[in-house]
Amino acid sequence: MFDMFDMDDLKKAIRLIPHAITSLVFLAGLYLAIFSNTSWFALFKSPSYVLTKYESGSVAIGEHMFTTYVVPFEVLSLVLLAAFVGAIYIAIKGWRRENS
Amino acid sequence: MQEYAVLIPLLPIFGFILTLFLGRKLPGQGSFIPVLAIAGSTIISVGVLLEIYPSGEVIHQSWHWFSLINIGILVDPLAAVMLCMVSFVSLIIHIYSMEYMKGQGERYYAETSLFTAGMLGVVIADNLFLFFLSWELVGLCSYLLIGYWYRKPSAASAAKKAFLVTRVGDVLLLAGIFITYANMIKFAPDSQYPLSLLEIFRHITDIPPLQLTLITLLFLGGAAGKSGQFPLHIWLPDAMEGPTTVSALIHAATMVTAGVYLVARTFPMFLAAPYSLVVVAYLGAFTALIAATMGLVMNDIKRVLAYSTISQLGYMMLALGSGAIIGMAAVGIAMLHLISHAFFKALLFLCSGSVIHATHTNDIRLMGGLLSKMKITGYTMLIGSLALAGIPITSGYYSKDAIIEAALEYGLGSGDLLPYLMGLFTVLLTATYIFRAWFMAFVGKSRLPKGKPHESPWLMTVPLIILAFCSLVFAGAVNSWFGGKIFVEYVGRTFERIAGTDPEVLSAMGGYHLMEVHVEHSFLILPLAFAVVGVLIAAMVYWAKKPDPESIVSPTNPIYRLLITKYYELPIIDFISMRITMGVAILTKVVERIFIDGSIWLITQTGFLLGEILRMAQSGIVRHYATAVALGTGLLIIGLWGWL
Amino acid sequence: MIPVMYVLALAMTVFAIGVFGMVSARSGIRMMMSIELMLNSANINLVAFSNYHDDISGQVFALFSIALAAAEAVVGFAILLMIFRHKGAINVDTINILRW
Repeated sequence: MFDMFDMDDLKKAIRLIPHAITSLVFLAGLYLAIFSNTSWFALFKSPSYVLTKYESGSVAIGEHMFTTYVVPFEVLSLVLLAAFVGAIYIAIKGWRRENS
Repeated sequence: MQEYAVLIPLLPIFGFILTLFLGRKLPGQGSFIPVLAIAGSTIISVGVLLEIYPSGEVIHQSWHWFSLINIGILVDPLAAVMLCMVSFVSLIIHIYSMEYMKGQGERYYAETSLFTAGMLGVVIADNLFLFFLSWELVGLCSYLLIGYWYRKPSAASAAKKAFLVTRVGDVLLLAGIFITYANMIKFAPDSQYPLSLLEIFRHITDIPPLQLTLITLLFLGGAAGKSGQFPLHIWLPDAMEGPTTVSALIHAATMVTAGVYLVARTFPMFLAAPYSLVVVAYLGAFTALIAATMGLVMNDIKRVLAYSTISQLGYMMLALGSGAIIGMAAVGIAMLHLISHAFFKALLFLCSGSVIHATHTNDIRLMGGLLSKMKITGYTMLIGSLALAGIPITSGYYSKDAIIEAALEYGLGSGDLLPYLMGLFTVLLTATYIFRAWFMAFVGKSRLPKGKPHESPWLMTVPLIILAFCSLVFAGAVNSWFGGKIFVEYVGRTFERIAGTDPEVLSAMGGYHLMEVHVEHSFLILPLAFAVVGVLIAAMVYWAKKPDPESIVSPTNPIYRLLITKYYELPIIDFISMRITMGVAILTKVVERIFIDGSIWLITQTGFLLGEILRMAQSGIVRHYATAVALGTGLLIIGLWGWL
Repeated sequence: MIPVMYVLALAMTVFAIGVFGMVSARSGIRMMMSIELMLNSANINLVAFSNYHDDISGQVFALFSIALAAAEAVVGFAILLMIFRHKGAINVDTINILRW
């Protein structure tokens, strides 16, 4: 039994206990917040959890993306472009300094 | 011109700003900017005076800002003549200093311009708040200009002394303003702006008489600080450390008259306050006498003039004090002497500046025989001295005579001749000391150790001639030669146009009995006789040397010793400042250190301690913050759920 | 089919796992991964409610959010790169000079 993890692994596990407690408390908080004062059990009977308007989900998403949400889509492309350019700039600057 | 009246103090302020920031780059250090600005003020002032003179009306413009800030101007006859005098004398002296202060830095021109603005503000202010503001501005400029050569230790300490001593008066004035405000709020709550002069005049009768006495005596304290009246006169002779033009402008002609102007401005309050005018009269007469005695022994030409300034200001106070019998006419008489004094004292100072410019010394023992070399300066100074001594046809004769006559009327009316006698004796002393200085400087053999004195350039002599002309004709022209007492009647009727200043009501409230006193004409010859005798004494001793001055002026002579030490002024001041003030200061220091500083220390230490504890939470590691957020959110929700 | 409540519970659990990873992570890479987990739990929520309300917009937004997560990851890794160049390690616990 003890040969499965040595003392170092044990120490690491012990170190994680407070973090685990933290996240469990957080999880408990989330569960409480959502399940304590919403009548979720009524939702079990809710029938409409199947997409009915469209034949296929991806077709619908694509249609929406290029009609209703075309402007956010383009803006998002610009944001991505800026992030890439910035990241490449940062990476190359240090790389050049290292190589020169 | 009335609509431009507000520009009178504003123009020199613009001059100040322009000169301060651009003066270095302009030819002549920009000295022409203040001259132009003040020339503009002079033109507007004279225009306003000519406009309001025929009707005797009062210009009042005021701008409210919320309920507490009020900026306004009040030009009545009193203010109008004062404005003309201040701006005109200031203009002359600025022209003179274009030459005299050449190459001494643009700061001088900027500061004198600011000073002129402040003084015009004092004169034109329509409420006590603005008045006090300008009053302090004037005091600040005085400080800056006395200490203009601040590298010289004596100038720096003289500036400090002037600032501190006048501060005593300013605190008294401020206390007076506070009490006025409290009274106006309590007894006249309907008034729009409680510190406005017109409102105060309208409600004088609402204020209890004894409160009024307190207020006016505090005002008088402020006036004594600014005008160098008896206990607070000590700063004025030391103020001569500044450039001579500054002495002429500030410490002879304009600023020191602000105190007299304050009393004249609030004269209805004095008239309604029991005992105040008697105090004013005695203070003035005593100051006139004691300063004249000190002036007798000074060797610095500017100090002689400084003491004579104190003495003449005492005369003006005496004239105002005699208003206890003669009523509002006292204001006119005081203002007449104020303006004529401004002319001849500015003249005397500028002449002494010209002499100092030529000989490079202030000490009249080292001068002598200058008349042959500096004809214009010598003769203009003679005119100034004659005016100061009160010899006929000069301006000083008419104005001082009016004061002595007023003092006599006061003496006969109240049965208290002491102020009159003091004033009369001062005439003798005045003539003696000024002619002592003149004889020592301008006649006899030259005692200059080195250098050849020469006449000053025209930019300096022309102002002398203008001022000499004014000193000769001013008071005679406006008050005696053409149809009686024009000036005194005009200025004396200032308050007739202002509501709530009926002299009968006010004097009844103050317990003064205004009356017409008939004065025998034979009495009126007395001051003239005294003046002539004074001049003769000076001529005998310092020109003919009949009793040799050396035999009188010796350290063994107890009277001389008393006078040269200025009535043991230094030890007394030392005692007051070093012993009494230091004692109080040490006591307050102990209290402050232990109780006030201690409590502050306690508070700060608690804060530091809490901070040290809280700082531990700041590890700088992102994980810990994330932990705090997650744990906090979870615990909060669980806690809320349990609680609800 | 699957009631929305279970999907939400899944999202919360994923989020709590992300929190656990976040509070216990010393390595920067692991921290980035935890952040991705948390983001994706939000995406699960979006999709769940999209399904529940029979509205395709939620799914479109989930796509946008994935794209933004990509941008965020790019910037985050660029920062980590710089940290590595400066410190020679990506242990985020050593970056604590912005304390007070």
